[in-house]
Amino acid sequence: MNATDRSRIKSPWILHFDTGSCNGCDIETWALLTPKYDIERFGMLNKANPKHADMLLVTGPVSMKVADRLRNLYNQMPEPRFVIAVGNCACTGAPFSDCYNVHGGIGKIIPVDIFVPGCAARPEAIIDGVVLGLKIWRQRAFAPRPKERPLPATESSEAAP
Amino acid sequence: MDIGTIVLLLIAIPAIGGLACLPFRKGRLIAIPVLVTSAIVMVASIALLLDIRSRGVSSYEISEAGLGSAGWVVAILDFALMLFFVYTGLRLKNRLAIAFGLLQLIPMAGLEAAVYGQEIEPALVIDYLAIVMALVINIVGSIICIYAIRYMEHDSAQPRFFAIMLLFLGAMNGAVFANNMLWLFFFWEVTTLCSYLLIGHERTAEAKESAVRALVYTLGGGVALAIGIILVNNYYETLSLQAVLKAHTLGGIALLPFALMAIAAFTKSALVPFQNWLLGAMVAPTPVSALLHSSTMVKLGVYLLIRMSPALGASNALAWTIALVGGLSFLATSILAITESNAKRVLAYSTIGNLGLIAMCVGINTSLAISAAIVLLLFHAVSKALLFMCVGVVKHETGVVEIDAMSGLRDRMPFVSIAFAIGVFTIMLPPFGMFASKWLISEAAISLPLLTFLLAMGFAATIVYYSKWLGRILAAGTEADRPSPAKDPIPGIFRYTLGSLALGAIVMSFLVSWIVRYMVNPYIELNFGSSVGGSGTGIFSSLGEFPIVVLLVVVGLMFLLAILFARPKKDELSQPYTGGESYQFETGGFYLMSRLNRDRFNVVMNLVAVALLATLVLIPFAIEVGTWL
Amino acid sequence: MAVDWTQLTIQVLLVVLSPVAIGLLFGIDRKITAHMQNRVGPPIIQPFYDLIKLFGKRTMVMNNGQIVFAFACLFLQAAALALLASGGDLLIVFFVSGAGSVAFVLGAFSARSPYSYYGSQRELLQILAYEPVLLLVILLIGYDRGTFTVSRLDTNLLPVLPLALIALMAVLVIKLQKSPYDIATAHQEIVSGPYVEYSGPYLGITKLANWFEVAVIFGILTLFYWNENMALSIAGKVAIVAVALFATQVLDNATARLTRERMLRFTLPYGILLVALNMALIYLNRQGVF
Repeated sequence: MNATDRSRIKSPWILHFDTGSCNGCDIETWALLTPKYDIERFGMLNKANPKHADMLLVTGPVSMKVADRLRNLYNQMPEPRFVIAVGNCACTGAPFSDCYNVHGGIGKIIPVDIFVPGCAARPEAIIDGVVLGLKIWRQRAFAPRPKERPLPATESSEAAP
Repeated sequence: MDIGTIVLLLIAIPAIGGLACLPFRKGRLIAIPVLVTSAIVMVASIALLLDIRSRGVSSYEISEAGLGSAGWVVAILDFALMLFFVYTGLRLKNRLAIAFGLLQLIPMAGLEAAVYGQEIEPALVIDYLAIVMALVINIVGSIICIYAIRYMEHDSAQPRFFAIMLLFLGAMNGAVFANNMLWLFFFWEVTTLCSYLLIGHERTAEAKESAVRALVYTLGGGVALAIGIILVNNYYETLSLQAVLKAHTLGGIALLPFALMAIAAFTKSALVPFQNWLLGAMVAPTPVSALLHSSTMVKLGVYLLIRMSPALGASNALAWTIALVGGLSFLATSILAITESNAKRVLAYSTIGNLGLIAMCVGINTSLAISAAIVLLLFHAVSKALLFMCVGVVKHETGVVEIDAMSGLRDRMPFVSIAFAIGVFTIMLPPFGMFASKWLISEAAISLPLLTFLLAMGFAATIVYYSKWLGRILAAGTEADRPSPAKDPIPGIFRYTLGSLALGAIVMSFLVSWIVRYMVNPYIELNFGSSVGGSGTGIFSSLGEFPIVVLLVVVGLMFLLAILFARPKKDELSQPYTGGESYQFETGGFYLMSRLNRDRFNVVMNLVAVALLATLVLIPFAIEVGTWL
Repeated sequence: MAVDWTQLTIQVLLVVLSPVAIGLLFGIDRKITAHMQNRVGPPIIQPFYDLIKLFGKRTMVMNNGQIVFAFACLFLQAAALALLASGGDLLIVFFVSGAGSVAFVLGAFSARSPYSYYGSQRELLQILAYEPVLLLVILLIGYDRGTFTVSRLDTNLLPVLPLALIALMAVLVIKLQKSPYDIATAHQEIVSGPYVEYSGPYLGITKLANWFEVAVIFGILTLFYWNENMALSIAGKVAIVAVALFATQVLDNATARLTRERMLRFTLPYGILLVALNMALIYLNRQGVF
């Protein structure tokens, strides 16, 4: 493994985004930054800026209004990048999957690499997911990801305000 | 060609050219006398430099006998001028103007009567300080006049405007060459007249008010200068500047004329507490601001201070007080410039600050300091003229001079933005021109450690307001939407004048070492013994070395590389981060102090300055009393 | 022109290895901070992983002004360090480093982004807070020694300028972006401030420029100790840097971020007063009072 790949594995910077969750999974994600779980030992830093981030940690079932924002943030992340869906809502939208105001899981908006289930997803599970994600990322040789998912034809996206 | 003829040309041709402008009505033809005059004075001033260099002397004198009846002409015009000032005061019903006019007229009449028949020799002295000033006046001044041809194209009173501008150039030439103090006084007052007429050019209420204020302040300075000259004649029995400066060993009360002349210099250069007239003068058209109120007229005051510097060395107290006034001006105006949102007022504060620096150098009164002062004078004139001209182009094309309105100018007017960036870089950043003087001043200030505190805060404040403004201008969108500088739709004259000054500023930065060695040191050696040397790689003093060439090469290489490789491809362009939103936003400016605090600051600053000026005048008396005891 | 090859090699090595040393210093900084917070923290060479990863990312900028000024910042800070290492004029080092800071601010302004704009305004305020103090310390060194040339400064400055060293601590806190004065890059407040529109390789360049900038300020710190014995000299210089760094870390972990007005109102009077006192002491010493 050359120096660049090793550095990418050793220094994944996170962008954490909440697309309408109850904040349970968000609290568990922030708990990762505390001394108890300490993800900084993996070199992970919580950068709130997509241009600096490698990993997108998304929680929440994507509400209609936030879909464009999520897409913008995903597009503003430079390659190589990967996406982790944290929590049941982000994975499939459950228990809100058949509500009229959510898309039902971020997989409908952007391509996802890792799904971390749980309500709320435990910090250990999130760390597990991230480590698995790093492994898959390396296996995939940090290939570029698709731009975004086109929306299903029946739904209309929110016009720009 | 004889040097005397060249100097006469420099003084007389602009006056004739100005008179030649008057018959023209509106239209393009007025460019002819302006262009012809500009060409003649530019060539003449360069010819003067080459002539002096070829003679290998550091100064050259021209006696009055060689100039025919010039002395009579000057005396008659001088009285006419002073009568005109009194008449203006009466017309404006301004008691101060009348008082100052009379206070000039009556004592000067007495002086002329007292020295009637005396030979005041030499009439004109040409040394390197005068040549540096002359080059600035003629070259930068001509470029500004050419720029003004296009700038004032819609103005209704162009003949009057250009007549006074050209007359002013001639007066400045006369002032820097004059050795006869009566002549100096005459040319000084002519510049006052030109400033008054040009500030009030637009004939709006605001313009008239600012013009009157400028007149009153500078007339007050003229009174101080007149009384100073009379006292010089009284104590030193000569009216030749050279002779006075050589005979400066008289102390005590005989220092009073120098104190008064310093105050006259302060009014002319708008140092505190006289800064208000310069700030008000910014209502004038931009060529006026560029020419009079940044590059040339206000430099006349500090030029006089530099001239007097050998005499000021006689009294430490006097010199230090002048240094404190200069340092206070620099510090206070640099901080106040952060609080201004009008671009011309920011530049006005910056000008006052730099003039304060020159005054501070004169006060420190060491060889290093005076070298720094002259280098500063030269480079500041070029860069500040460039900045004013850029602001003028923006005003001409868009009609606004607010800094916040210039946001994103790089997208709309790339050529002006680049010229502006060059102006700011040459004024504040190493390794460009004015930085050399900044470095020399920092080294010189160690002789007077109290001044280092004023310097340090002032330098940091300078960086803040220039970076803030330049950043506003450079805030641009993506490459795709921007026209290239070559296709920028600005008029050709603006492009050439701005471009020539920008190029000149950069080229002069390369030549600092040459300028120090061949244009500054000859003057310094006359009075102080030079202490700044220039070598192939840079300039050095006893305290350190400034490797200019190395730094310039590094900076040049870096810009070249960056511009060559800085072509982001279409798919690499991104949107700004706004939390995922996609709306338009506008940001407000940052101005450090509230109105209330700014007013308080002004009051304190003016009080301290007045106290310093009072001290300045009282020092000769104090020394005299001290010698009796 | 006779060139002293050993000295030249040492100077070149100093400049080239300084980023490596500073990177390790930052790594140690993060490790010690982590242990102060009762956690493990990243490995010491983490800053190098960060830097290499950044250079490996795809480019994404808003306009070429950012690129030009990022390069400008890097070159100027490296030039300042090279001047310092080769024994040049300390004032020039200060001004060139200051020009690098200005270039960085202009690069952040070049991008039309609200966070970038606020970040650069705050960065300018930081410059307003620390630059006068730093310039005064350097002028004080010149006043005391009578020269600014680093190669002629072979004396122990610490006994003469103790207060100046304490004044430099405030400058160090601001330059290292540590609490209570990490105003420009306030995390959670303005999202990396001036760095926000940089990404990938250009973010790496600005980070490298920051390392050179920190190397310059540490270089100035090392001037405060000198000994005829080369080994003792180096040990003393390293000790000064280590103690200063540790002090800023303790301060960082013990305090929260303060407002920008507090930063101005504290740093300027504090720094200027200490330097003025030091200057007065030197002056009185020269007059023979002590």
